[in-house]
Amino acid sequence: MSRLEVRGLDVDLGARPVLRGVGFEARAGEIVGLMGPNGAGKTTLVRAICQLAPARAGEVTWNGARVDRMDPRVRATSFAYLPQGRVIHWPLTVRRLVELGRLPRLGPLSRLAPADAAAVETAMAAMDIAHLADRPATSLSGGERARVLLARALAVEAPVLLADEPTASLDPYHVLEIMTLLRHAADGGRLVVAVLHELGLATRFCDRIVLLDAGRVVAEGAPAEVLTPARVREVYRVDLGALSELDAMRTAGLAPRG
Amino acid sequence: MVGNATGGRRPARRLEAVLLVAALLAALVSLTVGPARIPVSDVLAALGGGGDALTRVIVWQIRAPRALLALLIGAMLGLSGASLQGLLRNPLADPGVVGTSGCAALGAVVALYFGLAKAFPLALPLLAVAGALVGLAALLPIARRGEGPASLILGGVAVSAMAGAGVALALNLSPNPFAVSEIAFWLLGSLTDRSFQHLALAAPLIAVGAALVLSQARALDGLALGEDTARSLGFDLHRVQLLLVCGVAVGVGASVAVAGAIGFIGLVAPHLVRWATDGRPSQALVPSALAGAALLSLSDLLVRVVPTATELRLGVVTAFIGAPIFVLIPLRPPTRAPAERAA
Repeated sequence: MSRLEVRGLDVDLGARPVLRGVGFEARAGEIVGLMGPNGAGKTTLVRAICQLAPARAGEVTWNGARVDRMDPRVRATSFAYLPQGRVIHWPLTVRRLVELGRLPRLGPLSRLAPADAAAVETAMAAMDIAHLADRPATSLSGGERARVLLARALAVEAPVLLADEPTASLDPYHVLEIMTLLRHAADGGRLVVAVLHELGLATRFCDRIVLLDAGRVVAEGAPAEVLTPARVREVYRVDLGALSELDAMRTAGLAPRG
Repeated sequence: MVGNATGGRRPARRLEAVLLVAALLAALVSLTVGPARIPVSDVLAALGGGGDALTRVIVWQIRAPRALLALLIGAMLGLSGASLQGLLRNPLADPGVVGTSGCAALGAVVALYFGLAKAFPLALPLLAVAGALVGLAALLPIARRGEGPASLILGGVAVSAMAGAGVALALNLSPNPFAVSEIAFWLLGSLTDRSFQHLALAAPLIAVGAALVLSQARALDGLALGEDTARSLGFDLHRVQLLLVCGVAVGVGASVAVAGAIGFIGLVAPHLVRWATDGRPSQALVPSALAGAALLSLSDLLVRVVPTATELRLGVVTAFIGAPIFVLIPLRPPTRAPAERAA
């Protein structure tokens, strides 16, 4: 079984310590929710896993291989990274944007092979964006844009998908849609590591939660074990009673589909 | 599926063909223009190796290098502009951003100021190329220090400012008005009286520069989704920036060395062609180079055709053509969406 192991990770941004001794394990087929208040170090942890942020100490391994010692091309095809923010600098058509996910597999002069085209089609079909193929991606709505960028990440066909706030600033319908699509990706054999904020959503879709606070792992395990009222009060500084009500309101009447 | 994949490229291919024809046509017409009034039929005969000896010399030794240089330099400027706009994700980037144009100009001014250009004609372009490389050497350590386009832009601004100060110093200390006007006129750019020697100096450097720039085309596409995504796709952005900036410095340095500082081509050419592409920065590179070649050939033609008492300078014409184009760009819808057009 494919396995991601993070051990004793220390990461500094500039002179500021952001992660201290962070460790967790995850397996293919799981959705692991990275949670914690703003500034806890979730984004830095995701970036450190795929070596976008250099670690000062500790190590990340995928199937026993050190990720920082991987050939860049192997690393780029092992980890697909979906950053937060959904920045698109140029008006690429949707199809061309999704095709960017195949860049790690292309030689400097080679064109997309049939396998690449198939991966792009599969990713677009999975995200239900085939009808948008020729639209400029910059003209899409927030929900469409989120799906297109997720399709770009899926088109990498990497065994690990790192998604930083894939549901941020989406309405409840699109939040559930994205989470369902991530669930399908995990059921298909991928490991999905997603930064999430909605506690109810995480409880419903994640197999395991890694709860971060101030750069350290506070708790790790099944959602119900991790997100106890006492711990949520301590870490998030809010009362879980009030919060679950809010979550319930957000997802009211919207049963998970498929 | 296949239909979709090619359908998106069709406008770009058509535009490329139009620009290529326009550039070659402007170059051909420019062979027929000059102080010596030679009929078109004689020019064509001379091109084919016939006609009288004097006509052959004029067409081959004087006009052909000039036409070829306009094509090559225009293409390099257009290519550099498109690649820098992609690298910096900034539609206002042009080859001047990285400071090479300024440093190459300073090298040329040094040659003029100390009279080296008179003693040895190739001293000017050689010193200009050297200036571009010195500017590059100064820029790279600054650009490498930070992440993102900001440090490269800041470094370029600093290098440009230093080069500008050097040029101003040369103008300031010039012993007489004639020396001042010699420098000032050179800075306005020209392809007049350029020989095959100039072509032999510039063409290889432009070829190397263009190859370096084109080799990084894929990375520009990756950068369309930001630096983190590009890096997660396996691109080493420090290396990408290094190779691309070196390519621009070598190619544009050689261009400035031969033609002087010519503005607006690098800035405008990418905008002229981007509408026809599928939005990927890599797809704007070749059309932008062709647009640059066409624009500069046309400008160099105008320099010779427009009757003025003093010779019209190339940089002046490109600015007069480029500025209105730049104003018109925001007025056009950004990118065509085939699906929407069909609907």
